[in-house]
Amino acid sequence: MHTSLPLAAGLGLRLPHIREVIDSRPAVAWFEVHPENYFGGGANLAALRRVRADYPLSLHGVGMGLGSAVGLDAGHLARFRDLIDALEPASISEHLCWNRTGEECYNDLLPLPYSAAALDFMVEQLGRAQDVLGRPLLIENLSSYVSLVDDAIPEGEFLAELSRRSGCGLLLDLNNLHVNEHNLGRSAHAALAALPLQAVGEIHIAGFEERDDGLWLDTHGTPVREAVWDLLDAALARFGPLPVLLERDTKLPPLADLLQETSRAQAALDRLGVRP
Amino acid sequence: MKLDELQRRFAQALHDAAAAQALFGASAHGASAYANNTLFNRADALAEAYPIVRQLVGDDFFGGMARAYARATPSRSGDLNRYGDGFAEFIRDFPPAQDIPFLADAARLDWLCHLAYYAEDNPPFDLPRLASVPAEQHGSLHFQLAPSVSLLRSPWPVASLWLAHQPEGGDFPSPDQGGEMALAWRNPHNRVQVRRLMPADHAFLAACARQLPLAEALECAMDEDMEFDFGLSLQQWLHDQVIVDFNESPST
Amino acid sequence: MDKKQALIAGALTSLIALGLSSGAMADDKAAKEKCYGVAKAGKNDCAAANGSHSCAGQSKTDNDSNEWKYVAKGTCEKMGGSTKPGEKKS
Repeated sequence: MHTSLPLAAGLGLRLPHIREVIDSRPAVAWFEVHPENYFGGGANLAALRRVRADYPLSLHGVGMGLGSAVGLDAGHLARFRDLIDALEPASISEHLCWNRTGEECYNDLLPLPYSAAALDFMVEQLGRAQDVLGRPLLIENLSSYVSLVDDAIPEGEFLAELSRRSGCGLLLDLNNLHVNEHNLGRSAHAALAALPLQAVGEIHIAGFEERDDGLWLDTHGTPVREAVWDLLDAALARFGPLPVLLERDTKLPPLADLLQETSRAQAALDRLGVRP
Repeated sequence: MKLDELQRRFAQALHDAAAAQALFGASAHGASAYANNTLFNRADALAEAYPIVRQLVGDDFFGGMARAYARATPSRSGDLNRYGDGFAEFIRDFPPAQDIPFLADAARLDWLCHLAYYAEDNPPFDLPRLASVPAEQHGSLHFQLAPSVSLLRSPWPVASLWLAHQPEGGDFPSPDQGGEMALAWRNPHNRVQVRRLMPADHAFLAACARQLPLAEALECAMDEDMEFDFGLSLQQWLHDQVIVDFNESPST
Repeated sequence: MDKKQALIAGALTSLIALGLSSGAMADDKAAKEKCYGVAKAGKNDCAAANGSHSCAGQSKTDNDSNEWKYVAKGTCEKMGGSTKPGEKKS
């Protein structure tokens, strides 16, 4: 067990919805937020404490850049740790990515090469980060817009090996697999088949948008596509019931719409015949 | 390829087609997605941090100016809320913004409010502890401002300008009506507030920020205004959590 | 004790006597009020309407040319008067 999240559908909670959640306490099994929006103090953190009082919470980091060759940002890690201590979340997670050189931070999720050297480095950095944070992370597979000339190991095998060697769990983003299949020709089903049954601790689903030149962009700006719902059924059939999270970050619709979409993920879990 | 070398070349490839081709091969057209993400993530962070500037010039002008800043100014942290601390200086020197000479100071106040919004929480003022200090020592106490507090002195009416942009704010000031001293902080309800300060109030709070003892801070205030109502101001600042603590010696 | 000392002692003594009001607020209400500073999307509240951080990509595209083409069309139009700093000190 990598997390204590319920084996049920949760929703990515964004700040414009947080007061409505506090006031109306909708029937959602759990919420996930980006911790960087709650660093420091003030109203955001106060509101999140209220949400935490009523729901299991997952902190899903976007700014750590674990795979940056320049090393970990100690200040960033310390602020993440402070938030963990303040909220005692059911799960913490980050991405398989880098974001900084010595000169500049790119504030994006940049892909690592799937090479043996990068794997060694990630295992090392992840170990350091987990020591500071005091608990294991779930690590999410990226949607990537480029392949690197150094790529040698298939994505699923890279993730499986990372989990085995570092003790991290995996956060399996099905939309990212789907986007990568289109953009880079990597098979989503092959990735699913390569992951060990016990390694996956959480599933993400989201929507994407198409750029004029045909590149798919992981914008989380649309409802989940049918192909990703199909992937969800396939993933649940393989891994069994898991916490499933709906992510929506841009073109944010009313909360009610997202609750409706979350209930479809719950229905997929319910079809397994196992209640949380 | 070593990982640090690869990441340096990746960064270069965001704006260099030949470098992208060498590193990404047939998928090189995807590099522009990262260039876009980086640019707009920064520009969007500025739009969140500088709401008054954005309203003053409108979304199009603001977006163009924010992207110009984002292209010229690297981010240093994975926390985007830390990005943009030099935007006021950029605006001051940005040719298209010269027609709006108060824009840079509006940006300064926006940034102070942004810092106040995310400033660390602090425990409330410990009045019983103050009650236990003998009265003859009161003058040597050092009053502490909340982590969210900032002061700004401007040749423009920046506080009135900020207030005019609030939902129940006042009238728009005339730019030439005179300079103002502004206090920005987060109140007990976690709302960021701006208040226009009289010179004596400003002098007192600035003295507290410099770790001067109470007696000297009061002297600074009374140099500005002999009639300064110290008791009333102090009561207000404690109530509003502008002043949140005191020490017997200057804190470092 | 000089005049200033007396002023300080008087101010602090009445401060202590008055206390800080609203201390009796129910915990739940107090906790809720602490959330009310959260900015609502689409309002004029300052700071953090959406939160700067997400793990999503951007769909906006960069169409900026080298030529500046934007006109300031916002609340600055409501600011009458000259655009020179005021002479008088407030």
